[in-house]
Amino acid sequence: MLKMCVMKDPYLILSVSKSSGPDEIKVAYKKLARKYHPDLNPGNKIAEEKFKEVAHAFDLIGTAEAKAKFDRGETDEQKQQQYDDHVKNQGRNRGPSYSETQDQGGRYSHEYASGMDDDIFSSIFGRKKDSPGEDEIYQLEIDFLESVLGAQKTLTLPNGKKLQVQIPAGISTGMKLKFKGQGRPGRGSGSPGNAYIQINVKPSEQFKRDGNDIISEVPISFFEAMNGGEVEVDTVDGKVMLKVPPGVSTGTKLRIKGKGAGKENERGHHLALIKVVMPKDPPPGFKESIAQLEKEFNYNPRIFS
Amino acid sequence: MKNLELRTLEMVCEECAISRHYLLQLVVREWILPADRERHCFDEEDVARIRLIMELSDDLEVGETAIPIILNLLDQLHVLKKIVKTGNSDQC
Repeated sequence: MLKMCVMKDPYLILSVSKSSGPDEIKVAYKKLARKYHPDLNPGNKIAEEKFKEVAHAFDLIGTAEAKAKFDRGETDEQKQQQYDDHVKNQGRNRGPSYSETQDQGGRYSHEYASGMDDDIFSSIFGRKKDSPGEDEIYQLEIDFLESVLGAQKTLTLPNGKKLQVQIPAGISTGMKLKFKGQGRPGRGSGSPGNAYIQINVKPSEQFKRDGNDIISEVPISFFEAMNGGEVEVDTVDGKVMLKVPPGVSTGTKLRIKGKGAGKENERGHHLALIKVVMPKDPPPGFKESIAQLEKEFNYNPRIFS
Repeated sequence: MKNLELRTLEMVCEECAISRHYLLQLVVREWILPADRERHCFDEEDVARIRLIMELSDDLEVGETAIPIILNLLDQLHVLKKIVKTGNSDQC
């Protein structure tokens, strides 16, 4: 069930009265935005939530036009939807905040740290000068066919280094490839960290994965379903002729051996999911012929299926 | 987790709704250090930092002199957070 989040009173959130003008509201918003900006409060989840609340409240009453609309009590479905999305997605649809990028081991803070004096660290924190570098995790989006058959990709890391990535056949979303020593450099004589490439497979409109099996829908005519025949089926290896036995129904799965995902000799199968399609605009006489057949050969599929 | 996808100057201008001149100014001032400096390509860290600069200057009305100081302090804060975290896990 879809749950709608109730919007809080924007006047209350911004600590202004209903009679406040746009300038006063703007000043109140800026004061709170400065206080709760997530990048100025890194890691503080409460501040992050407050900031979102404040930004949304300003969105509702920040201009004379928006305020008048809100005061009239007009339901603004778009704004309600934005607020729901905001709560649901925690405002992540526009990418990570600056603090989030740096918390994940950011390039900017790394650059800043590289200019700092090593002795300061060791005297304050008692750390050894030699320490191993940190691991890096990157995300790589690949096509469905690349995930099934494998591929070779060249990635350019933020430091300009090129990485040859051999994507093994049969890889799926969430799997990580490890690249030893390609992470952050170590301090002093410490060894470098590792780089991990996490795979994200773009969904295919034509194919679906079920483990190492690949499923695709194959439309056939009423006659092909009755009499059987050979139909052309697209697989990840190209087109294949599939023998359809007589009497198949929608939902029948016909197996094409070895055309699934996975390493050579360990590949899964292609499963052709039969869909019997009736003619959209039957030619003259078709319906009459079917009606005649029905009279002679009617059957009840709910009994004999 | 980082997204490795790099954006061109034009893509970033469109994504952040800023002019080419404004973005180049940020690069010249070294407030933004593009992920690929030779080809002027940007990653998600650059975009997040551009958005932060825009929010500081447009929404919070922070002056131009104060912005690099804030950025510098934020970078210091992130480095120190990491050191404290590493220091704590070293002691465990």
